[in-house]
Amino acid sequence: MATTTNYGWETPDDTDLVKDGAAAIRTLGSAIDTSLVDLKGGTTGQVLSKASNTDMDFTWGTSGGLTLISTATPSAATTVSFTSIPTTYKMLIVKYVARQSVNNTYFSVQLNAQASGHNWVATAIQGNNLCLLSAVAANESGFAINSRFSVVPICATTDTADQCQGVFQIYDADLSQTRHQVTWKASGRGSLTQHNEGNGYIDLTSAGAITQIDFIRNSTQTITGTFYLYGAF
Amino acid sequence: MTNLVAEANVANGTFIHREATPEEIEREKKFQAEAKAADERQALEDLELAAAKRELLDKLGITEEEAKLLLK
Repeated sequence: MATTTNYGWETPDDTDLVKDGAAAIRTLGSAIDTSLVDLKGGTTGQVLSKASNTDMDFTWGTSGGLTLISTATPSAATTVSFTSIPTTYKMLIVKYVARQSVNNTYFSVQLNAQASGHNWVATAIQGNNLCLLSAVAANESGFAINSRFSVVPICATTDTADQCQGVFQIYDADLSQTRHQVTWKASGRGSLTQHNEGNGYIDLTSAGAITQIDFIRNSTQTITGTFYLYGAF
Repeated sequence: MTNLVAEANVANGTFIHREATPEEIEREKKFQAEAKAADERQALEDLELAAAKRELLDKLGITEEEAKLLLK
């Protein structure tokens, strides 16, 4: 009986009768079907792991790391949007590096296109004298609508070394609840250096998971750069 | 185009630049009005802080440089 080199699947011998071909193909197909059964299944965003040291013994599960969900590369855009975000991930993380067309302008974040209910507190270290600032705001139309604490802070218009860079995170993004917690850290350098950190939450008008993230400008500037949306469990 | 939305539709796996919808433009206007008001409040606070600092220095009868030396 002939078998394949790696998996040992049974194949017909050269001397076998052609009339037995159907059965031989069925035997081979069934062997392959059995070997690959662990690869079947899984859901969006899951990764394949070994379940034991045994060959072809796999299981689907969460990665434990970050999964790059989507990348946006705005070019002279006035708004950057991630829409129709799947509610698969516990945490959503947006990492960005960008330049704005006008010095000392900024972008803030709005969740689920909701025009109110964003509550936040933030601190910022600013300027050459390391001035420490803080703010508290309630029921606004986005996070850190303020040039001192913004999620995408002021930055140079051309110098890539002074681009605005940062991370914005949403916790329990997958849960259908009215309140979602967020944090952000950002740096930029325009007319002065700016390092912002903030925390907050949004109270949605009705319970829901996070399906949309919009970065909205404070003035008439545009933004060019790269925004990465990651998911984590 | 004046209002260019860079949209990554995650479900479709697409990324496009498109003109903002009237609803998005309205949303942005509201956003910008809040931003302007916040920055005006901030500017006012800055002025009040500067005035308070000047008043304190006047009462102490020292200059800002002298105050910095005292704090060292």
